[in-house]
Amino acid sequence: MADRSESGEGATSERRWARQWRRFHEAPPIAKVCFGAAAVVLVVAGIFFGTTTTTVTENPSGGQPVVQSDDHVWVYTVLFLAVLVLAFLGRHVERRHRAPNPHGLTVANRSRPKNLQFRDVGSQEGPLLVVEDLHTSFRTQRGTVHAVDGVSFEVEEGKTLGIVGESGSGKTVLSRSIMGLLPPRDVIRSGTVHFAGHDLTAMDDSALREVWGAELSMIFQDPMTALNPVRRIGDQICESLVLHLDMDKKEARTNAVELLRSVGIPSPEQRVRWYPFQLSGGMRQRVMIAIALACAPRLVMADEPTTGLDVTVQAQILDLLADLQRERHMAVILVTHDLGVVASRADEIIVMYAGRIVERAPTRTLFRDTKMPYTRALMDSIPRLADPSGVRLNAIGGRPPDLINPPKGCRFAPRCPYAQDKCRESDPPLRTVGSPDHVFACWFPLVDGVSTAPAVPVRVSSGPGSAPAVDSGQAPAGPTGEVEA
Amino acid sequence: MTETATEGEATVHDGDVVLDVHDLVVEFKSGRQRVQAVSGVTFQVRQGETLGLVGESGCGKSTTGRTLVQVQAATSGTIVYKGVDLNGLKGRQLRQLRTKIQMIFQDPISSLNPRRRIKDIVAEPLVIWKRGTKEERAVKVRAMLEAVGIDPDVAGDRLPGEFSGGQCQRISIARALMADPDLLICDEPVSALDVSVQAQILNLLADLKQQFRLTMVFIAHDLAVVKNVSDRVAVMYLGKLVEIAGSDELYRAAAHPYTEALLASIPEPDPDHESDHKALTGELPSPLNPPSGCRFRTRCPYAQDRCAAEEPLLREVAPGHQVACHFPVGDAAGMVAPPAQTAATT
Repeated sequence: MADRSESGEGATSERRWARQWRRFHEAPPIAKVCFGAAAVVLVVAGIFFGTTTTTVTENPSGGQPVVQSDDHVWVYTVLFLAVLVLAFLGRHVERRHRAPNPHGLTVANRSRPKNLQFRDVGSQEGPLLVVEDLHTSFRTQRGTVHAVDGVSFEVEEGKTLGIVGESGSGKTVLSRSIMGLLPPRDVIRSGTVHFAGHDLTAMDDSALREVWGAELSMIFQDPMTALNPVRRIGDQICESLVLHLDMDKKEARTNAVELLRSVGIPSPEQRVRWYPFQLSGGMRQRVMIAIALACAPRLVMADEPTTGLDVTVQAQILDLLADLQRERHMAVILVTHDLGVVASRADEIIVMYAGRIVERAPTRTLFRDTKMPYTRALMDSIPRLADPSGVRLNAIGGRPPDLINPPKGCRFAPRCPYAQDKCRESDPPLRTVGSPDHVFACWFPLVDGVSTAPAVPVRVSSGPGSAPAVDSGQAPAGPTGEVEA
Repeated sequence: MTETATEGEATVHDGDVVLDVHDLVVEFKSGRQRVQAVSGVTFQVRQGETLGLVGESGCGKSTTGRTLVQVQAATSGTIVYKGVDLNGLKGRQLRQLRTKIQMIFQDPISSLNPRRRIKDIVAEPLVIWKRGTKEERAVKVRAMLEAVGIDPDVAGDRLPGEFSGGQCQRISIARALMADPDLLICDEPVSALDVSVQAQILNLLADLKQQFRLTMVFIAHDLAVVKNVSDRVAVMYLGKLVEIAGSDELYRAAAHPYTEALLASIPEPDPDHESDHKALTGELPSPLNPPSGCRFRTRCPYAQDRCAAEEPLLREVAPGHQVACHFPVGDAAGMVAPPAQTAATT
């Protein structure tokens, strides 16, 4: 047990002791004998020390105690050495006994530590993640903000789901609600999130901590604020390896180097000792990915992983994520505002608007047969290289609605060029036409890019030359609607 | 190195030139060393056109933009605006000229004073120059806010914190236009915004350009955005201009391998889109110690021995299309790189 001091700094001492005890329990008999003998010697030495000191204190004469303890120095030395030798011997045997850790990307193949509750996931059937009727609201001074309003979806093992929406559509809150990473107060969450058959919403923080990083991990938007600026990147990667995979420091370090290599960081042996500020934005995001993938999770949530990066770096990061996903058979949820980012990378796409899903379809279907006018509008607002320069973009006028008082009926109706009276009065349910995996919420879905609304109002064609969309005037939210968190 | 680079110039033969940048060099001190952020850039901007400046972060495009408004002093070279060299100007003369050259910054929220009301922020350029009476200023502020799509009655008395990123960018644009500038330098004005808001701002800039007869320099890292707003596009790499062409020409017949790679990395909103270009690998080399010869050669898939030995100069491969490459790609130059023999990269 000589290496007990090497456990991760993040672990509480209680859990550290529990882990050491487990490790002792699993050790082969010889190691147990060694550790036991070391413990016995320690106890005997303690008693011996105690008795001698007692005699010393009982002796009233001044110079005597020094001479007395001097006599025993060699005994202590021998006992100390014996303890050390036994402990090292025991540790050596115990390490040999444990399955040798293959280096590199094979971290995924390691047998999982026994304390994780998800050992049995292999046998579990159905989708990896099932979100059912998830609601998340925040209590604010102005009222309750319904950031996520009844969202349900599933993610299959090894698949990529794209979640797309403007800022304020609730996509980030959705990903945090799934993870359970919400502020402790003034939050109301209902609905269920089943991950590998276990309900995450029913778990307390300590149970969730076993899942985070190990089975379900997250890549954040801003790597500079997500990484600890005063710790070496190697230590930050090691943290979860030590905590979840029960590695000791040396093993974890070897793995950290291999992880950095796998995310394409050159000369990882040196970089492991670097601090986040020494790396460029793209390299930092690679480190974030290395941390997220360290324990070979089954699901990775990437919340705007490339926003704020150059387009060239963005392409590199997205390709890297796709390669690693294929290699490790992970499921990925890619949250972004740019349909272009998910177009060639997601298997299925969810489009969110004002806290709700407005369209969900396999990627190809979504682009070929767009039903919801909002999805179409999002696609049209991206500048295309193939278009001649100076061509006018089809911007969506106005802004997403205030989520304290969302508009009645369809929430996109105030900005929709095809909106009818029916849209403004009653809320369209999620429904299908034809293919069962293509779901949308619209009364008058597009067919071949043309609206099925009875009479298309004139203001649709207010295209080139018209005055730019007036934000403040058009927004129904009123003076409070523009306050951003 | 800079001496040789000046021989190849991005010259414009016709049209009245508003801004003539010649062999611009900007250096920064980094400890004892000196870093060249911009090393010998030459280009012209004609009246009424939009010149796009594209490149990865660290290529010197923002430094170039900041030097144009003299927020950053140039180490050498000239920036001639309507016959006046900005580099020699000081004090009042410079300040007077700055009203004609205005800038829009990347982060709209932090470029507005959070403690001041919107109408005061927008009126400030006029207050500084003591133009008009208080009433006249108020009228102009209203008109300008309306022009950028902000309702002056609702917004005028509020603080920047109450607005979204897109709206703050609209307010920044209104402020930049208050002093009636001729030349607008836009430094990544949309890269912090959502795609839907980005489209609104790009359309707005196009409208305002018409309305106020502006000349623009548009700096961004996304070639698709730059292509949409620009008449001509200049591509920068590690402080050097590598290609300059009309924006449609650049997309149709990109001649520099770096431009090709930039085009390839733009995500197309089409699941069946297969890019035939090669994506870029590796990172930008350190400007402290730039590669010899062609600066792009360390990441270039077509690099040859000659690229390491000799620096390519800007030369014309088609009318109005200049490229700094020994072996331009495509048919534009009529010459293609010889089959790669040994890897010339180091």
